[in-house]
This record gives sequence, C-alpha cells and structure tokens, in this order.
Amino acid sequence: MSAGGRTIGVLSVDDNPAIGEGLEIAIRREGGLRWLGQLTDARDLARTCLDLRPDVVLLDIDMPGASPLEAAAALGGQDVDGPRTLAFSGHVRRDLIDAALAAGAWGYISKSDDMASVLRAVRRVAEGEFVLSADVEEALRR
Amino acid sequence: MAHRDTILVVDDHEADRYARARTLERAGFEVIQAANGRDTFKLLAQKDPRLVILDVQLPDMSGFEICRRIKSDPATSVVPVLHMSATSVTAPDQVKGLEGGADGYLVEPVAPDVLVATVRALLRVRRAEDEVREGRRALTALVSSLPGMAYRCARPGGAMTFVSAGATELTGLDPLELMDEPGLWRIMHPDDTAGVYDKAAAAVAARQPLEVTYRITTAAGDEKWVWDRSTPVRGPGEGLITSWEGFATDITDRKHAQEFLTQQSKHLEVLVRERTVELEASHQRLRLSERMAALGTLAAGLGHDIGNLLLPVRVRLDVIQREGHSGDDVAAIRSSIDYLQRLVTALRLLVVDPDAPAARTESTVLPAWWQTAQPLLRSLLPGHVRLDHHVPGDLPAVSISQPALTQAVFNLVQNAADVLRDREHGEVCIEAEAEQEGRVVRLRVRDNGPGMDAYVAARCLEPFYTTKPRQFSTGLGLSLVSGLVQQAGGTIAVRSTPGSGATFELCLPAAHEPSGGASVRGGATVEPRVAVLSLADRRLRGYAGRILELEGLSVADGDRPGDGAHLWVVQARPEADAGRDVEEAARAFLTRRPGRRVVFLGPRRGAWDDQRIRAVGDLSAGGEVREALQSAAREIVREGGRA
Repeated sequence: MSAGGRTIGVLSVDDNPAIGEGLEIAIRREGGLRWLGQLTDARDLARTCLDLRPDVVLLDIDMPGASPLEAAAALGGQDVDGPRTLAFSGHVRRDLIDAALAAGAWGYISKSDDMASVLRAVRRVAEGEFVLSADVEEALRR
Repeated sequence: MAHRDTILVVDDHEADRYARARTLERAGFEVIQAANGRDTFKLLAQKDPRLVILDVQLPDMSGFEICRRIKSDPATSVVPVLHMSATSVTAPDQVKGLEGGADGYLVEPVAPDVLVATVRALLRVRRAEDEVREGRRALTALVSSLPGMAYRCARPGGAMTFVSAGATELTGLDPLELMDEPGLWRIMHPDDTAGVYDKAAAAVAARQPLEVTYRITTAAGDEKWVWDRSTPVRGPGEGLITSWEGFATDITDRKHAQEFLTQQSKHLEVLVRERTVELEASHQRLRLSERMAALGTLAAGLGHDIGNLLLPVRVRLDVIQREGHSGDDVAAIRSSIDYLQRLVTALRLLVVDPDAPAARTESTVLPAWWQTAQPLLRSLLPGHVRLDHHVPGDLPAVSISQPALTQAVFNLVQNAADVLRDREHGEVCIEAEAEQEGRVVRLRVRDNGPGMDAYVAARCLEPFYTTKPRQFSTGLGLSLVSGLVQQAGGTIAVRSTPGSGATFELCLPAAHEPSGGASVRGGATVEPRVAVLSLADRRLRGYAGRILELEGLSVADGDRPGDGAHLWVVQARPEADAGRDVEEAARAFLTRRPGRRVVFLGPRRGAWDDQRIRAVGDLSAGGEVREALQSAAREIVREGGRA
C-alpha cells in the first residue's frame, strides 16, 4: 500500500485489451501508481498475485473463462495484507453489484466513469476505503 | 279346426227351421235355433251370432219388430238380419222389412244354394263393416293419443271439418270453435300467415306434403310454436283438392331450445372473434417485444463494446490535454473530450437494462424546464415553423432528470423539424397536463407534418428503424426517447394518421417526495436518523456505512450504540467471550427506546426472535447484507417520519 511512500501496484483482470491499454497509459502518468499489467483470464489470478503482489486488482466481473468473482473470493482468504479487489464493470446491475461485494470486493465502479475517477477510486481502496461510483449507488438505492 | 261362423235361425215352424239349419250346417256354418222372439234375444246376448235368419211370422212378436230392436240396440246393431218368409211375400212386405233395417229378404221357396250364397254375401259385408269399424276405432284411439291435433280442413289453416281431441291441449279452444271459419287463422300469428299460404301453394305445385311452422296464440294468451304437416286430398281421378288432412303439434320448447342454441352460438362466435382479435394483438405485441429484446441485446452489446473501445481514446485525450498545448489545440482537444463524453452518455442509454431500472430520484419541474429548453428547441426548427406550447405553471414535478427530458423532447422536435422543413405552414406544439389526480403528467409533442401509416407508427420506436436515408439517421433517435421514458418509469405512445401529423405522448409519473435523510419538507428540517456501526472489518464497515448513508442515515462508529442511535449494526463474533455481552447489549438497546433496529452480521451465539432484529450469518451470500441494512434503515426512516 502507499503507506511508507510505497507506490500502489495495480493489476487489471479484463478480457478486453483496450481496457489495459487505457489503464496503462493513465497509470504510467500518475505519481504513486505502478502498472503491473493485465490478465485476460481470471484463472491465473491467484498465482499472479503471489508473484506480483498487487495492492489493487481492477476486476472485470463479466468475462469468459474462469469466474472472476470466484477467483476474487479465493484471494480473500490468502493473506490479510493481500490484494484488494475493485470491481470495474460496464454493467451497472444490482445483482452483479451484490455478487461482487459478496465475493469480497472493496468497491464497484463503472467503466463509463472518467479515468480520473477510476484512479481516485484505486487510491481510496488502497487506503482501505470502500468505493462505489455514482451510478452504482443510484442502482443500489432503488 | 277352422273357425265357423255362428248363424241364428229363428222360425216357429220346426220343419222349416230344421231344413234351413241342415242346409247351413252342411255349408260349414254353426247353427243355433230359436222359435220365438224371447229366445232370439236370449241367444243374441249369449252366443253373439254373426247373422240372424229371421222368420217374419212368430208367435210372440213379429219378425219386423225383432229386427227393429236388433238394429236399434248398439250391442247388436252390427248383426246382419236376413228375413225369410213363406207367407209375407208381397212387395210391400219386402219393402217394409228392408226399410225396417233388414239386410236381406228372401221369399220361400228358396233353393238351398241360394240361401247359402246369400248368407255368405251378407257375412262378407259384415266382415268388411267390422274391418272398417275396427280401423276407425283404432284410428280414433291413435289420433286422440297423439301429442297434437289431427285435423281435416277445406284449405290450410281454415275451418276444420274434423279435429282430434288433442286440439284442446294445443290451442286451448273447443274443437267446435275450430270448425267455424276462420278456423286456425284466428289464432295464427299475423306475421306467419303469408308464409303458410306461400308454402301451401308451393306444396300443391310440387305435389308434396305441406310442412310449416308458425306461431299461435292460445286461448290462455300464450304464444306457441306449431309444427304442421298436411297432405291435400284430391277428388276422384287426382282432380281438385277437396280437403287437407294433417297433424299439428307444439314445438315451442324445441323452438326455444333452438333459439337459445342459436343465441349461444352467436355469443360464442362473438367471443371467438374477440379472443381472436385479442390473440392477434398479443401475438403482435409478442413479436414486437421479441424484436425489441433482440435489438436491445444487440444494442446493449454494441454499446458495451464501443464503450470499452472508447476508454483508451479518452485516456489518451486526457493525457494530451494535460501535456499543455496552446490556443486552438486546447479548444479542439477540449471539444473532442466533450463529444466523447456525450458519446459515452449516449451509449449508456443503449445499455438500458429494463430489469434494473435506475433510481428515479431526479425530478424536473416542467415550467422551469420549458424556460431553459425552449431556446434550444426553437433553434432546431426552421424559421417558418411555429413552436406553440401549453405548459401550465401548477403541474407537479415529473420523475425524470432535466437532461433526460431535454434529450427526449429534443429528439422528437428534431424529427418534427425534418418532416416540416418543406411545409408551408409547419407547426409544432408541446403541451403538458396532469392526470390521475396529479400522479401522472402527460407531455405531448405534436406536429402537423405528413404523419405516418400504421406500420411505421408501430415500428418507429424500435432501435435502428428509420424512414430516413441511412447517412442521415441511425434509427436510434426515437428508440433513445423510448428508453429514457421507460427508465423514468413512464410510457410513450405514438398517434398518427397519414396526412394529419403525428403526436408523441410521453406519460411520466409525478415525482415522489424524497424519503428519509436530512431533507427539507415544507420548510422544516428533519433530523437524520443515526446508525452506530460496531464493525471491525474495514471493508464491511465501508460497505455498510455507504449503504446506510444512501438510505439517508447518518453513520458513526462505536463499540456500543449511544442513546441517540436508532440502528446498531454489529459484527457478531461468537468465538469471543464478549459474544454474550453483544446479545445482551442489543436487547437492552432495543428495549430502551421504541423504533430501534439491530443488524447482526456474521454468526450469532444466543439468537432470539424479534422482528426488530436482522441477522445475516453468511456474509458472502448475494445481496443479503445490503437487504438487511436497507430494510432496517427504511423501517426506521418510515417510523421516524410518522412520529
């Protein structure tokens, strides 16, 4: 985590390479953040986390292959100081939000948020805050 | 042994009597004999002879007198009487005997052959008469037991010359009344007489029996339906019709049953027709909704993918903007970002998920909205097109965000502008009115353009459907309007006929008052309800806190809830010794003040039933944590609002 001046390592799990490309450009320009790369299949998440020790995992919850939410839930028990997952999705639906939070996510943000908001959310989760983006909150309040 | 006819021979002269008896016995008859009138009647009663041969001169009474008495007694009147005499032999004697009722008169001497032949002839006549009598009796019995009226009349419906007993039951009239003119006509329904005449004429021409149904009014005044079949009886040699014989019976019940059935079947036909129309309409709706669903899925997928692809573009533009360019570049970049953001917003409309409508917390006050939207809408229309409006100042606010409403009406007015561009007297009118006691506001956008036919009107809200050339239109404009209105919980309808313009009608629910929280109601501030969270898990604390804040509660952390708290959310840890303390603290918290709630997260030790307690044992199960928190918070807010 960023405490002690350490940079925040960010790993993305998303089957869409354009997401990784966008995040990489943004993160490389931000101070205090470190881009670790993107997994296009959640299957390798646990092992990759052991190798790269990310602070925050931006997780697309709806992708082909292994279930991202199950992979994220599996991370929870590994290590108290392990990575915190932040659901990052194009779908703002209450059932998906509920499922992500039940799987141990530290927040849920929408892909239509602008990049500055995304990076702000990453920092807050790294600080131990819980984050929801505005349209997610709207969906939950219904 | 064949049956032998019994002949009674009456003669006081024994030798003659014997001679005749012998002759007849030889011819095969059984013969009984009497010598005077008294014995004659005795034997007539006892033996029932088929024929009597009667001497004219008898000691106690004359043969003529005996014959008269035989013929006048109904019991014996059918028995033929043959006079035989050797003394009364003049023509006047014979005339007297025959006129007195005798069936034959032979003058002695009579040859035995002649006597036998004469007896046989008379017996033949008697047999024929018996048959006729039996036939008539049987017919009368038959006819009188028929369920109806057998009759004979001069012409159909006219006065009867014969009517069976059933006439009374059928018509309520005395049969005699039917035997006077105008017979049946007097009780036949006037509307049916012409039909009976026509059918009778047709039956005569076709040499067919006449079969008709008609109504009569009985003596009691009831209307009955009658079925009547009759046959004309012609004079000798198939000549003129002398009478009609027929049978009429009551078919009222059958007729009523028939009418009932006819009515029922008509009713059924109507029902079937209605159901068919309904079915057709629901098929139509189904087809449309299937198409909409397919298109919606496609649009959602496209929107999703395009959104993902836009992300790196947005990031790069952000980067370029921050790198600090000068002058025109900055403006161009800012404008690109601006357009991109609009595109992203538009895409979010495509990804409308009808199962999860977004919160309808935003609302728009229409008169104020009109002030800001009017210049924009005006600018869409060519100069010669009039823009009218009717937006009353007292309309309730509607539950749609101002930008969404503007976008919806913008698209509708833009379409109107396109169809009115070449019209001389173009006109667009926007009018709003409250309905259902202010629960709903109807907003109409009406133009006097060329209108749409039913097919186009039915499809125009579908995504990608367009009547414009593709380079000008994506066919998404009206679909977006529909999506926006649906998201706001409203409905949209299209009314148009070719040549008389089009009206788009948005039916929007009125905005509800915001519930709970430190909101302003009628100028008074309501104190927020307080939730105390005793949650060690930071993530859980963050999540629960945010959920409760969204419900309008103010959130604080602490080990135990204070006096001002309404809700206590506590993470139960039964493995710790304090587990029991937590349960006791919760019980105390609930009993100290009414209207409080407790939410336990995680496994509990001493669980007890109380409607004010919510407990979620498994935190990794779906939305249970959220639902427990939300329902507790909403109850507190509701009860607080009432207090």
